[in-house]
Amino acid sequence: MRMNWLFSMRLAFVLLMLLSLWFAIGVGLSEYELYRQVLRALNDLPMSQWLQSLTAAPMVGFWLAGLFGLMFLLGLNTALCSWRDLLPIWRHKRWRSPRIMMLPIHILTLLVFIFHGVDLVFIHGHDSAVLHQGERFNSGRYQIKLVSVDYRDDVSLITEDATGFSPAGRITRRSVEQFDPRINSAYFFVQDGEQKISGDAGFMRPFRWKDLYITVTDFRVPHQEEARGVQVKVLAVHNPLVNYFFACYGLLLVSLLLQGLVFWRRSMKKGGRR
Amino acid sequence: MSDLSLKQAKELNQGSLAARLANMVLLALAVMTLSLINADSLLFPSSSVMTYLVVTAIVSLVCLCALSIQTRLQANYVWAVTFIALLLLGYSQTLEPPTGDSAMLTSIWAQLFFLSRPIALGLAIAAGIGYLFHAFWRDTHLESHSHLLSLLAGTAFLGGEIAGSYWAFIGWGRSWSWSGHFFFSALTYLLFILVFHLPKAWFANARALAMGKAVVLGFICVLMLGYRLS
Repeated sequence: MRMNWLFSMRLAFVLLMLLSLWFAIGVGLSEYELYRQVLRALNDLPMSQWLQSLTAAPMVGFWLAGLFGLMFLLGLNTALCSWRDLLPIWRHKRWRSPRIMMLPIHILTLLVFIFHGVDLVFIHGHDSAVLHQGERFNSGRYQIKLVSVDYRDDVSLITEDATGFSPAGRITRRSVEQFDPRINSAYFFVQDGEQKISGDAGFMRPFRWKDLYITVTDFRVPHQEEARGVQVKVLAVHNPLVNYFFACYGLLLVSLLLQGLVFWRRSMKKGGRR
Repeated sequence: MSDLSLKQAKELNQGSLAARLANMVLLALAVMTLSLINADSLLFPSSSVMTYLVVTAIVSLVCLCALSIQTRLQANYVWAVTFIALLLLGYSQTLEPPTGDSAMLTSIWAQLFFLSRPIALGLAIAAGIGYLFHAFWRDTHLESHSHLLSLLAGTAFLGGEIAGSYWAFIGWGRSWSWSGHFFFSALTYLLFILVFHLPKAWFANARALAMGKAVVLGFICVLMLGYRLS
């Protein structure tokens, strides 16, 4: 059986159209409360534990299966097109070809797909804890202790009432006058066997050591616990791939800009596209 | 040179000059508007709808500065994009001025993420109209201009996605989230990719292909504006 259709740009077009449509359906699904809750639950689970959540909403399961199927086909099509149509440009050293940057663009796009997939299947997930000064928790092989909290804004604004609400509200809704992420931080002590390290982390300012990223996702004072000081919600993420993932993204961006430059120089010379 | 062609050349010069003048005046006005918005805010309010519209207008007007106007068609193109920028600027003035006081805006990655959207939209508007003009009246110079702009639009959008992805990672520990906002981002980026993957064989000629690209870019613009304004 001829498999030429797998190499064609027509298939790429159809798959891109279908994927766009699929994501549009996803946007529609996320508007329904039930489906939104199920999708949100997936954020905190590795793929091996998805089935339990998806049994409550088979529609989301069907949508995800379709999404992964389409992504797989698009990835395959991208790889095959790169191999058949774009690799020869580099193999024959046609450095002046207007399509010279197409190969890195397609390969890097493929790598970004793969990193996303590996992240979702094997790495996705994290440990979180709410800590007062002096408390500790374990995340994988790391022992993490909150040594101190340096909170310089008005503590009364993050002090919760009996219903759990504070005057400043959710951290993502706070104004910079109520809470400035640049001046508030927590000091951590981290231990991995015999190795020890300490450092500051804040909101949107993680503390990194090896594959561990410690981020503070909330500063709050729980109801009737004012005497214990500010409590912090901590997220510990283990992701050894994240640097490679963003490096691929960065290189993809550079490749696209170079492609723009190649095209611009060519059109300047020719006075228009031929 | 005959009197008639001299007269035509003079008319073209005047037309180009008028289009360029309108382009530059509106650009200056838009930059001033953005400066005033920023001056009245605690932090640069990149996440506000008003900034979104003003930056979109600025970028589409800047795209015109890169085009040397040589024909009447190109002058008309400049007028068309300037008119759309004027509409965006006008509509932005009906909105509440932003305060830019959200703690989230202290992150440079958040600022880059929010700014990338109007930059991509402004480039897509200028590219889409360029393709539309080329589809109807054929102008290869305009086609080149539009091709480069659509490439930059996709790149700007991707740059914003990277910034947003990194922002999500440092803030919430994950670079992807199963939510409507992320699906919409993926959808928009795929549509930008689609512009460069329209199979030539399915279109009768280069002008039909340009029309196809104009339709996809137009759809992206409506989608992005609709999503932001809704």
